[in-house]
Amino acid sequence: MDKEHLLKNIENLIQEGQLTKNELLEVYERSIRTDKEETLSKQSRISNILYYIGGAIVFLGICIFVGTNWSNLNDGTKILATLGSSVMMYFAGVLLSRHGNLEKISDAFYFISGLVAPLGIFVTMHIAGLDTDSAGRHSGVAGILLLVNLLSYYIDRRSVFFIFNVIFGTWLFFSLTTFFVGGRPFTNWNFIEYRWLAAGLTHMILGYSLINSNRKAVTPYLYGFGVVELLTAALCLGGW
Amino acid sequence: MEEKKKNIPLIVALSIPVLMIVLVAMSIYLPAFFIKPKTNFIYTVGGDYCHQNIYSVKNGKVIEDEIKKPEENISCRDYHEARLFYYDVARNASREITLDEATKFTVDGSLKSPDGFEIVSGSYSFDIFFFSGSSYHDKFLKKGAYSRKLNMAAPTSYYDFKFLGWVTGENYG
Repeated sequence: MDKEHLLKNIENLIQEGQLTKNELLEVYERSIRTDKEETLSKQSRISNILYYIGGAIVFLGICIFVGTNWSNLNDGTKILATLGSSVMMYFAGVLLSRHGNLEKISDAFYFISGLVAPLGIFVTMHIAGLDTDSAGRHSGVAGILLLVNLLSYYIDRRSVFFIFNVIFGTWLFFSLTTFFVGGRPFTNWNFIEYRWLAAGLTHMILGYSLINSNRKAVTPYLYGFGVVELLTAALCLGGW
Repeated sequence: MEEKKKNIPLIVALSIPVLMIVLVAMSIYLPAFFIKPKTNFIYTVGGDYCHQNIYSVKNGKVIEDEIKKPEENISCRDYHEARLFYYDVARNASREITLDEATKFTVDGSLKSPDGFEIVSGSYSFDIFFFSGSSYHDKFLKKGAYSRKLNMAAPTSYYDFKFLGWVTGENYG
């Protein structure tokens, strides 16, 4: 339908009394508003990505600082630099989330906190003389982190908590199954492949369940990871 | 009703890993309720790396072989003396025995026990981020889907362990 034809149709509708001036203006206003909102949404997404990149850089900074100065730092400083940072970042996120204009920045702080938390717990365990390699300990750490993130998500439904719930939940699934199986002599189980198959299927269905929710931005990532996990496991099971 | 329908994919997604964890745990721990190993066994620890294991089974009895120690071999100077152990499967514990005690038992050197169990090494397993469950040095009592880790008398490495045989004689225990 060309423009001339469309205007003629509108003219006819107005003449027949089926379309009023107000209705026409309302449609015009709405279309402009949607465009504006889309532009704002795009800007917001870009700033969000930049917040996360900033968070990742801070996380790398902490890792490099602790790694390069490991032998020079005393036990207290090691714990403070890792677990302490994580806790402080979390509380900084909580404080920032209370201010409307700084609310988005709080996601970056929660992001850093979530990344540094496992490192902090492992460093603390290592200093306390606990074994950090066993699947049982990993299950415990993953379980604690998942619980904290689930509670956080229950209180404040942010995407960052949802993402960490998926990550820590996946980790708990793998470490708990490793803990049960351990080094048992089941060579013909294809256990590792079946686990990845289950993880891939879970991520894909989880992504699908979010399509009609306000977390739909996470869906493509869950689909992506899910497909890679599922296909890799299926190919391995098929003897590829 | 509509809300419930919306949650079905989420419930399915979360139930897959939960179900797998439950199934894995059940497949490992459930057989232990029904399968009870009965036959004890004798094994040695130490001395095997330099072929210094002096114990073997002959005609259903544990015997001591005569082996000349290769003193010129430097790597074999610090070898561990072979020690004999009796494994009680009911208690899941080992106790050291002397050769005199060992010779009193009637021993079956077959790989499988009369009740169908065998002793196997553990396997390697990987977690999502880390290598875990390395238990090639660990020994397991295995029969079908059932497997139980054995509390061996601190074997220093996998070549240190040598299975001698299942105790089938009347005078064991």
